[in-house]
Amino acid sequence: MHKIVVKILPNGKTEVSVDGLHGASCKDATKAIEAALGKVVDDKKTSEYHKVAKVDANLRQEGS
Amino acid sequence: MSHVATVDIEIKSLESLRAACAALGLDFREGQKTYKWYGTWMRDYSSENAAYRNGIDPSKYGHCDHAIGVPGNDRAYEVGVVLQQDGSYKLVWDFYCGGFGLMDLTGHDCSKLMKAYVGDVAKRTLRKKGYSFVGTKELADGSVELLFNHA
Repeated sequence: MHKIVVKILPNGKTEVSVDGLHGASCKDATKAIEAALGKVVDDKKTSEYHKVAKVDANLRQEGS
Repeated sequence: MSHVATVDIEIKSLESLRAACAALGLDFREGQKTYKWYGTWMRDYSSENAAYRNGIDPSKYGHCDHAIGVPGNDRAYEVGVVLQQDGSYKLVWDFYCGGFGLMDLTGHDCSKLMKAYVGDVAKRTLRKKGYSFVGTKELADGSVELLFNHA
Protein backbone atom coordinates (compact mmCIF):
# COMPACT_ATOMS: atom_id res chain seq x y z
CA MET A 1 0.00 0.00 0.00
CA HIS A 2 1.19 3.52 -0.71
CA LYS A 3 -0.28 6.95 -0.14
CA ILE A 4 -0.35 10.34 -1.82
CA VAL A 5 -0.54 13.54 0.21
CA VAL A 6 -1.80 16.74 -1.44
CA LYS A 7 -0.84 19.69 0.74
CA ILE A 8 -2.42 23.09 0.01
CA LEU A 9 -0.13 25.80 1.37
CA PRO A 10 -1.27 29.20 2.69
CA ASN A 11 0.54 30.92 -0.22
CA GLY A 12 -1.74 29.16 -2.71
CA LYS A 13 0.86 26.68 -3.94
CA THR A 14 0.25 22.96 -3.58
CA GLU A 15 2.69 20.16 -2.77
CA VAL A 16 2.17 16.58 -3.93
CA SER A 17 4.16 13.83 -2.21
CA VAL A 18 4.20 10.05 -2.18
CA ASP A 19 4.86 7.64 0.65
CA GLY A 20 5.56 3.95 0.15
CA LEU A 21 6.86 3.98 -3.42
CA HIS A 22 10.43 4.32 -4.62
CA GLY A 23 12.35 5.47 -7.66
CA ALA A 24 10.60 6.03 -10.97
CA SER A 25 7.32 4.42 -9.86
CA CYS A 26 6.97 7.26 -7.37
CA LYS A 27 7.03 9.82 -10.20
CA ASP A 28 4.57 7.77 -12.26
CA ALA A 29 2.08 7.76 -9.38
CA THR A 30 1.88 11.54 -9.18
CA LYS A 31 2.06 12.44 -12.87
CA ALA A 32 -1.73 12.61 -13.37
CA ILE A 33 -2.49 14.71 -10.29
CA GLU A 34 0.36 17.14 -11.00
CA ALA A 35 -0.87 17.66 -14.57
CA ALA A 36 -4.46 18.14 -13.42
CA LEU A 37 -3.51 20.73 -10.81
CA GLY A 38 -1.22 22.97 -12.86
CA LYS A 39 2.45 23.59 -13.47
CA VAL A 40 5.21 21.87 -11.48
CA VAL A 41 7.65 24.55 -10.35
CA ASP A 42 9.84 22.43 -8.08
CA ASP A 43 10.45 18.71 -7.75
CA LYS A 44 12.60 17.40 -4.92
CA LYS A 45 13.69 13.77 -4.74
CA THR A 46 14.25 12.67 -1.15
CA SER A 47 16.90 10.27 0.19
CA GLU A 48 14.35 7.46 0.01
CA TYR A 49 14.07 7.93 -3.77
CA HIS A 50 17.85 7.82 -4.31
CA LYS A 51 18.52 4.97 -1.86
CA VAL A 52 16.40 2.55 -3.81
CA ALA A 53 17.75 3.73 -7.15
CA LYS A 54 21.26 2.86 -5.89
CA VAL A 55 20.18 -0.66 -4.87
CA ASP A 56 18.73 -1.18 -8.36
CA ALA A 57 22.08 -0.13 -9.89
CA ASN A 58 24.00 -2.60 -7.69
CA LEU A 59 21.71 -5.44 -8.66
CA ARG A 60 22.26 -4.75 -12.34
CA GLN A 61 26.03 -4.70 -11.84
CA GLU A 62 26.02 -8.05 -10.01
CA GLY A 63 23.87 -9.66 -12.67
CA SER A 64 25.99 -8.55 -15.64
CA MET B 1 8.50 9.96 1.28
CA SER B 2 10.43 9.73 -1.96
CA HIS B 3 9.64 12.92 -3.83
CA VAL B 4 7.80 16.19 -3.31
CA ALA B 5 6.51 18.25 -6.24
CA THR B 6 5.43 21.86 -5.79
CA VAL B 7 2.68 22.94 -8.18
CA ASP B 8 1.46 26.40 -9.19
CA ILE B 9 -2.30 25.93 -9.46
CA GLU B 10 -3.91 26.57 -12.84
CA ILE B 11 -7.68 26.37 -13.12
CA LYS B 12 -8.24 23.80 -15.86
CA SER B 13 -11.50 22.18 -14.74
CA LEU B 14 -14.76 24.12 -14.73
CA GLU B 15 -16.40 20.96 -13.36
CA SER B 16 -14.25 21.21 -10.23
CA LEU B 17 -14.72 24.98 -10.03
CA ARG B 18 -18.51 24.51 -10.11
CA ALA B 19 -18.24 21.85 -7.40
CA ALA B 20 -16.06 24.12 -5.25
CA CYS B 21 -18.61 26.94 -5.57
CA ALA B 22 -21.45 24.63 -4.59
CA ALA B 23 -19.52 23.40 -1.55
CA LEU B 24 -19.02 26.99 -0.33
CA GLY B 25 -22.56 28.21 -1.05
CA LEU B 26 -21.50 30.33 -4.04
CA ASP B 27 -23.37 30.62 -7.36
CA PHE B 28 -21.45 29.63 -10.49
CA ARG B 29 -23.01 31.90 -13.12
CA GLU B 30 -22.43 29.98 -16.33
CA GLY B 31 -21.74 32.14 -19.39
CA GLN B 32 -22.17 35.48 -17.57
CA LYS B 33 -19.92 37.91 -19.46
CA THR B 34 -19.48 40.63 -16.86
CA TYR B 35 -18.78 40.54 -13.14
CA LYS B 36 -19.73 43.13 -10.59
CA TRP B 37 -16.91 45.29 -9.16
CA TYR B 38 -16.23 48.93 -8.27
CA GLY B 39 -16.48 49.73 -11.97
CA THR B 40 -13.45 51.97 -12.42
CA TRP B 41 -9.81 51.05 -12.08
CA MET B 42 -8.41 53.44 -9.48
CA ARG B 43 -4.75 52.32 -9.91
CA ASP B 44 -4.68 51.89 -6.16
CA TYR B 45 -3.41 48.31 -5.95
CA SER B 46 -0.12 47.14 -7.41
CA SER B 47 0.97 44.15 -5.33
CA GLU B 48 2.42 41.05 -6.94
CA ASN B 49 -1.00 39.42 -7.21
CA ALA B 50 -2.69 42.45 -8.81
CA ALA B 51 -4.68 41.27 -11.83
CA TYR B 52 -2.88 43.59 -14.26
CA ARG B 53 0.45 42.09 -13.18
CA ASN B 54 -0.88 38.62 -13.93
CA GLY B 55 -1.91 38.88 -17.54
CA ILE B 56 -5.28 40.65 -17.15
CA ASP B 57 -5.59 43.85 -19.21
CA PRO B 58 -7.10 46.59 -16.99
CA SER B 59 -9.25 47.73 -19.93
CA LYS B 60 -10.94 44.30 -19.68
CA TYR B 61 -11.67 44.55 -15.95
CA GLY B 62 -15.31 43.69 -15.42
CA HIS B 63 -15.37 41.33 -18.39
CA CYS B 64 -15.28 37.55 -18.06
CA ASP B 65 -16.45 34.23 -19.48
CA HIS B 66 -18.30 33.08 -16.35
CA ALA B 67 -18.90 34.67 -12.97
CA ILE B 68 -19.14 33.57 -9.36
CA GLY B 69 -21.47 35.35 -6.99
CA VAL B 70 -23.20 35.33 -3.62
CA PRO B 71 -26.78 34.08 -3.81
CA GLY B 72 -29.32 36.45 -2.28
CA ASN B 73 -26.85 39.34 -1.94
CA ASP B 74 -27.36 41.89 -4.75
CA ARG B 75 -24.78 44.24 -3.25
CA ALA B 76 -21.95 41.70 -3.29
CA TYR B 77 -19.25 41.95 -5.93
CA GLU B 78 -18.57 38.90 -8.10
CA VAL B 79 -15.52 36.88 -9.16
CA GLY B 80 -14.79 36.94 -12.89
CA VAL B 81 -13.68 33.64 -14.45
CA VAL B 82 -11.54 34.63 -17.42
CA LEU B 83 -10.47 32.19 -20.14
CA GLN B 84 -6.76 32.33 -21.03
CA GLN B 85 -5.09 31.54 -24.36
CA ASP B 86 -3.76 28.22 -23.03
CA GLY B 87 -7.28 27.04 -22.14
CA SER B 88 -6.94 27.57 -18.38
CA TYR B 89 -8.93 30.17 -16.42
CA LYS B 90 -7.93 33.02 -14.13
CA LEU B 91 -10.06 34.39 -11.33
CA VAL B 92 -10.36 38.18 -11.03
CA TRP B 93 -12.13 40.05 -8.27
CA ASP B 94 -12.35 43.40 -6.50
CA PHE B 95 -11.73 43.02 -2.77
CA TYR B 96 -12.82 46.57 -1.83
CA CYS B 97 -14.83 46.31 1.41
CA GLY B 98 -14.45 42.53 1.23
CA GLY B 99 -16.48 42.61 -1.97
CA PHE B 100 -19.51 43.43 0.25
CA GLY B 101 -19.90 39.83 1.38
CA LEU B 102 -18.09 38.03 -1.45
CA MET B 103 -14.88 37.40 0.47
CA ASP B 104 -16.82 35.92 3.40
CA LEU B 105 -17.55 32.94 1.16
CA THR B 106 -14.50 32.89 -1.13
CA GLY B 107 -12.00 33.66 1.64
CA HIS B 108 -9.36 36.39 1.54
CA ASP B 109 -7.58 36.17 -1.85
CA CYS B 110 -10.15 33.51 -2.80
CA SER B 111 -8.20 31.12 -0.57
CA LYS B 112 -11.25 29.08 0.49
CA LEU B 113 -12.41 28.80 -3.10
CA MET B 114 -8.98 27.64 -4.29
CA LYS B 115 -8.67 25.08 -1.47
CA ALA B 116 -12.07 23.67 -2.36
CA TYR B 117 -11.09 23.63 -6.06
CA VAL B 118 -7.78 21.82 -5.45
CA GLY B 119 -9.54 19.32 -3.18
CA ASP B 120 -12.12 18.52 -5.83
CA VAL B 121 -9.52 18.16 -8.62
CA ALA B 122 -7.41 15.88 -6.41
CA LYS B 123 -10.37 13.66 -5.47
CA ARG B 124 -11.66 13.32 -9.04
CA THR B 125 -8.20 12.67 -10.55
CA LEU B 126 -6.96 10.22 -7.94
CA ARG B 127 -10.25 8.31 -7.76
CA LYS B 128 -9.83 7.51 -11.47
CA LYS B 129 -6.36 6.16 -10.66
CA GLY B 130 -7.67 3.81 -8.00
CA TYR B 131 -7.01 5.90 -4.89
CA SER B 132 -9.41 6.27 -1.97
CA PHE B 133 -9.77 9.59 -0.17
CA VAL B 134 -8.93 9.03 3.50
CA GLY B 135 -9.41 12.48 5.01
CA THR B 136 -8.34 16.08 5.53
CA LYS B 137 -5.94 17.45 8.12
CA GLU B 138 -5.68 21.18 8.93
CA LEU B 139 -2.20 22.19 10.09
CA ALA B 140 -1.25 24.97 12.50
CA ASP B 141 0.38 27.06 9.74
CA GLY B 142 -2.89 27.22 7.78
CA SER B 143 -1.95 24.45 5.34
CA VAL B 144 -4.44 21.69 4.57
CA GLU B 145 -3.41 18.11 3.81
CA LEU B 146 -5.55 15.70 1.81
CA LEU B 147 -4.60 12.04 2.21
CA PHE B 148 -5.23 9.32 -0.40
CA ASN B 149 -4.45 5.59 -0.14
CA HIS B 150 -3.81 3.06 -2.86
CA ALA B 151 -4.13 -0.63 -1.99
